[in-house]
Amino acid sequence: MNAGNASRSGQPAPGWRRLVEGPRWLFFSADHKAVGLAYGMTAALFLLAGFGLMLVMRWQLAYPGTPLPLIGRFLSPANYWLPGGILQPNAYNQFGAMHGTIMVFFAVVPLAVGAFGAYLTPLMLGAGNIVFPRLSRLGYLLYLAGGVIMLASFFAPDGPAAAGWTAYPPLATIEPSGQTYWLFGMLALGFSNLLLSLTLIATIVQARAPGLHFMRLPYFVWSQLIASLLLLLAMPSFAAACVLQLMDRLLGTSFFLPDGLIISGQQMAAAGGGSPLLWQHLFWFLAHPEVYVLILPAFGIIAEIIANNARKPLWGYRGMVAATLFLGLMSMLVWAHHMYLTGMASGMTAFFQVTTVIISVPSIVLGTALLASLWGGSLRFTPPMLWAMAFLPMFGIGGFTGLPLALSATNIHLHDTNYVVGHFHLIVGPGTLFALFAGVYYWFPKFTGRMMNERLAHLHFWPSLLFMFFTFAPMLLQGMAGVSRRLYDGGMTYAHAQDVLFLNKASTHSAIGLALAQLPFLLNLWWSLRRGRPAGPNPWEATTLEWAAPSPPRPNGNFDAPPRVYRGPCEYSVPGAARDFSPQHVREDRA
Amino acid sequence: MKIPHAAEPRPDTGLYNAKLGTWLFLAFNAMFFASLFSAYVLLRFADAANWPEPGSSLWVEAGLAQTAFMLLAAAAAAQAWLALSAGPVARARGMLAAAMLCGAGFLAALGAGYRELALRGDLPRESAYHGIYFAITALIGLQVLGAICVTAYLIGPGGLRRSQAPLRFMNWVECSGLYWQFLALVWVAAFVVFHLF
Repeated sequence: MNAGNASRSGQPAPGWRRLVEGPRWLFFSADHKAVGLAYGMTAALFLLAGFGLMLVMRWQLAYPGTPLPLIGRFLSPANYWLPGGILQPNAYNQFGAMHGTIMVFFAVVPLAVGAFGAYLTPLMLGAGNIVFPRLSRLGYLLYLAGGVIMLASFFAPDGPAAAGWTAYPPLATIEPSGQTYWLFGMLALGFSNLLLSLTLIATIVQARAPGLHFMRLPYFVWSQLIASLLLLLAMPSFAAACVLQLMDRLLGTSFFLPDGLIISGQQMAAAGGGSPLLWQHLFWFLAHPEVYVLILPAFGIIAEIIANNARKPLWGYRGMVAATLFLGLMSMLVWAHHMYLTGMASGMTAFFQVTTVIISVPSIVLGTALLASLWGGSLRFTPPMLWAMAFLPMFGIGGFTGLPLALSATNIHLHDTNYVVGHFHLIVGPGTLFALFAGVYYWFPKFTGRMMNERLAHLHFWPSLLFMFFTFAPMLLQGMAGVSRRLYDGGMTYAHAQDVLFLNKASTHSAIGLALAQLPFLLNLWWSLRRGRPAGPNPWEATTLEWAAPSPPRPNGNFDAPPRVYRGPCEYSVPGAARDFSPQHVREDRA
Repeated sequence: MKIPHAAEPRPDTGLYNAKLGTWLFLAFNAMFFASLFSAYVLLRFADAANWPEPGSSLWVEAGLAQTAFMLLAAAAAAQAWLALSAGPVARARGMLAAAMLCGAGFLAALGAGYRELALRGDLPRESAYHGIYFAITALIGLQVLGAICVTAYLIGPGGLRRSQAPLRFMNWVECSGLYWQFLALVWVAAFVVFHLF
């Protein structure tokens, strides 16, 4: 038992104290667990905020021009965004832009890399802390600052940014001050990501325990390494783009403004000579690798859980590592598949089409390896395993829906339709988010020393699976019917959308169901912290090094003694072994 | 548990932590400036009709002075690390101070160049060319200012810790040298691009 977590009587500290040592430790300690938990809690709040924005937008799409239920009647007619509870068109744009920005940059990546990465990576390496602890803390504070700036933009005179999470100029250049907040917030986030990725990479390279060479690393660590490398190398392009757009907005430069630009019938007072496509190239050079930053940690989490709950090694570990490295490399070569309709030369289009189709290969290798890892295993359908099993087909569906977008001939018809929205949400929602839930259920005993309630876990899982799928799958059909994305009225005014308008209601009702399905999870968190069944250091009988630390680990430092590694990360059901799992740090474990 | 390899290099990688961290930071920085140079190339062709002859609107002498200052600063920073390996600290401190002075000289020449352009009315908002010139050179200048601050710390408060952790202090000096050398390389690339393309 950690001294810091014990009450005066020596009994385990109750509730939230099991998770954190107190606010000072959580927000100012340089211990990687404090940094990880701070990232996790902050990102969870942003996830709720982004989810709330989405629910308001979905109501408008399903029931255009009608007040929000329950709270609509309390909103005055003078409310800026929702007079009388009815979402206004510009507010719809603002909510859409902020939903995307918050979810991608301030919720999912900080959860996947900041929370899980910073907390678990040093433990899995057998290290006492992350390599640059104060830099990683500074990285969190920059992330928090960026988030505060983003939230502050809601109180700007004309509200937050409204040019989409993609912030395309010239629209983004002429938008009111909310866009300037957005740019500063993103710059702060960019430097936060630099520090986070730098510290994770340095930790993985330098802080491995004796005997832990690269091909003995847990696949989770490989996924964090590649994701961090992508953040390190792709984020600078976006930082440069933000600097240039800030100069356009504040100093009157014209990096993204072409000659002779007419706004509302009047020639814009700018020198011109710039190119909106410059922004698109710089933006997508980050934003495509960013989606792999969203999914790679998810693969890492799922791989650990599948190996543990199938009680057999990962199938094709080396192939998975090679595929992940190749995926990371290719992700830097496909960005312009988001720009097929910009009038690129056919040679350029062909190049990006080829690289985009090629990049599907390592993704399929990873999915196939995870599926094959189940074959012949002794499957345990624990709560984490349920989420992991659901991830596989959901990611498969989401991934396959990307292939028509990869090919420019079909992309022409699907670009900027709801099909794209359905595609990426099916990957991030039932893909990454399911993996994050799986990770919470799997590592909660390590974080807190308590098990989560299984019944509540099932109450969370099954409705979430159903509603998550039916929130986003209808969008694929709408997109194929030609319904554009980002339409305030959901396509009501378009003749070609009439036959699929009812799907707006299906998506909205499913989204509301999805929201309600999270209540058992919140209850489970609260209940388990207080009354969960005590968990020992290794309740899942896992092999990786984090399970050698106490549960929860010491608030400063992790292991009683530095571990030494004798074998690979997934030595389950080894013939002749005493148990069906052989921990990495145990020298000899023969029957 | 102490953080390993904070001063001594790790045997299999041959790196101590700060050196790896510095290289990773320089990788980020290299991609940052690569993006800006890519922007230069795209704008060069997007605004070809209005693009001035390479170097025609720039003060070449100021540019040459800046290049000389950056190369001297990088050399001085490298000499500082070599001097620490050899022995006397005074020489190392002198070289660090020289690097700082050269950095300050670079900034002064940069400022003089900006003043010249401003007096001629060649402000960033006047054209895409002047905009990207100011963007790239100002960002280099900001980083040179950062390098000066780091070097000042090494001469000042950081230097006081030298007696407690001599190897670690030497590592810091090496890392600062890497940073100066990177900035010199970026400036030379910028100078060539602006004056030849």
